[in-house]
Amino acid sequence: MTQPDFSLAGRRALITGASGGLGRHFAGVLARAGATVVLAARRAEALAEAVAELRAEGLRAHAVALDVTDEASVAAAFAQAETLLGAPVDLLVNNAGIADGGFTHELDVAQWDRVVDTNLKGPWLVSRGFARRLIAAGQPGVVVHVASILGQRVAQAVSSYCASKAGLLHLTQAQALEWSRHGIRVNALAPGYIETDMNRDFFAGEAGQRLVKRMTARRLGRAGELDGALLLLASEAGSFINGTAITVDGGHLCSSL
Amino acid sequence: MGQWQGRTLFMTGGSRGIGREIALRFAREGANIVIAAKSDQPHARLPGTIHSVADEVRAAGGQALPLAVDARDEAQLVAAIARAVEHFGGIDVLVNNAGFLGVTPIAATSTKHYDLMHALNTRAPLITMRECLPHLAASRGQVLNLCPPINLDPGWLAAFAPYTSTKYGMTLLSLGFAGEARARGIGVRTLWPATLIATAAVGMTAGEAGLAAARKPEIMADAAFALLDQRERFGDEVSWLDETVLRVLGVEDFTRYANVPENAANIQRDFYIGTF
Repeated sequence: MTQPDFSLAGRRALITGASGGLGRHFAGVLARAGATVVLAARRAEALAEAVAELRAEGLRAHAVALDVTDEASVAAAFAQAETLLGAPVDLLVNNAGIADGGFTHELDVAQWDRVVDTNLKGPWLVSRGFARRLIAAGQPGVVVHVASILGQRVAQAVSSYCASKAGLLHLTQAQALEWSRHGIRVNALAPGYIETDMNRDFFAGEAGQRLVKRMTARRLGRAGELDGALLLLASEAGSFINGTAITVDGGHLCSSL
Repeated sequence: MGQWQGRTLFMTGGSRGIGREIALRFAREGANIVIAAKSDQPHARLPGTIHSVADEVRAAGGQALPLAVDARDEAQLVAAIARAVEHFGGIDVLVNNAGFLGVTPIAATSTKHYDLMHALNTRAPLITMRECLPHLAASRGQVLNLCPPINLDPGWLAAFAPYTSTKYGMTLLSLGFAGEARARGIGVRTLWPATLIATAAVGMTAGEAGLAAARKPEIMADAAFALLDQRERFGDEVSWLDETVLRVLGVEDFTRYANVPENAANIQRDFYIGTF
């Protein structure tokens, strides 16, 4: 009986929001599993260091500029990726996302627009560009939408974010239904609170520590603790996993009433 | 389309190769082409002169102004731009195409050789962008510089650093000018081939094998035309590869650009694409 195949050798991946945090980390994970990775961010220059680091490890990495909210930018990014790779992208990690804070009744409309454009419309536009190309080429592929446990439960003063992530989880299922016949699997990763450079200071502080104490695991997750789920969804080990979300939150969703 | 009828393209170089192909592409649209290049007399080994290209431009349907210019000479560049404006009434597109290829590492690069590369690849574009600025502002025109997207892969950096530094310098000036000139409505693009292109320069440095693994210069002309003709379609991004431009237009099959059709599956990537 053979072991599950977690290898990504020969795969061509594009990761959005790859200039820092989880996106940059995911690019490394996929590259080390054998994929050639294309890191995408609004400013390609912001990716130079990340690309250089991966190449120094002997991994294959490229950078493209991508504004996930702009249809023309999405088309150009896939065109550039295909030029650099010599073939279509067949693994998409929709990681680009922004956070926002504030009570609904105190927010500007522009704040809602920004969050929903990046977190929901963005993954829709990018996965649409991805699928168009693969369907035209008659090739299979995999989409991983990076959602959040805040798309499954809620918290105070993050209503736009919650709505966008809940929408993304539902989009995952709708796309899985549509694209299964084209050999494209669509799943979501729903991280809980993961320590990154951006939130490290907050969680070290008083308010952050109060939040941590209410978590089931009483600690933040590490980026590396998402790798297993990502590789499962991306690789042939997950060949029969479609239209679902894997929650990686240390049990936070199960916190006490 | 018709929008290029009577519009003026000022090009450095253009007697042969990619520049000539771009000039002819726009000539077919009825544009005015200024060919500011060195080859006034036929060269022993290199085909084409400013006059032969001017004839081809006119035969293709455009207007031509051939100007004998050594791009190392600032006064000649400045005079050529003034002459072009006087003759055609303005400038709509500046194409910095003239360049000098030299694939030597630092250890084997004489100062004289470096000075030549720097003068043509970096200094001349600075001069032409600066001098054309008021004319391009008046026409809300565009700049097209033939230089590579900046790739800091250590392999490429070490391969032939002097040449690389001059071409990346051209790209840096382009990226800077894009920001500097945006407020005046001027668009700036850089364009570089994704693959080897069958030109005299490639023939001389990479021989028959290089030409067999190359695409025709037509692909650069088609990409340059699309980029300049459909400005809005390509957004704000400055650096482009020819293949990417055409993919945005929906082109998926590039075999017709293969210089040797039987070899279409073995086309070689150009300098600075991916890892060394």
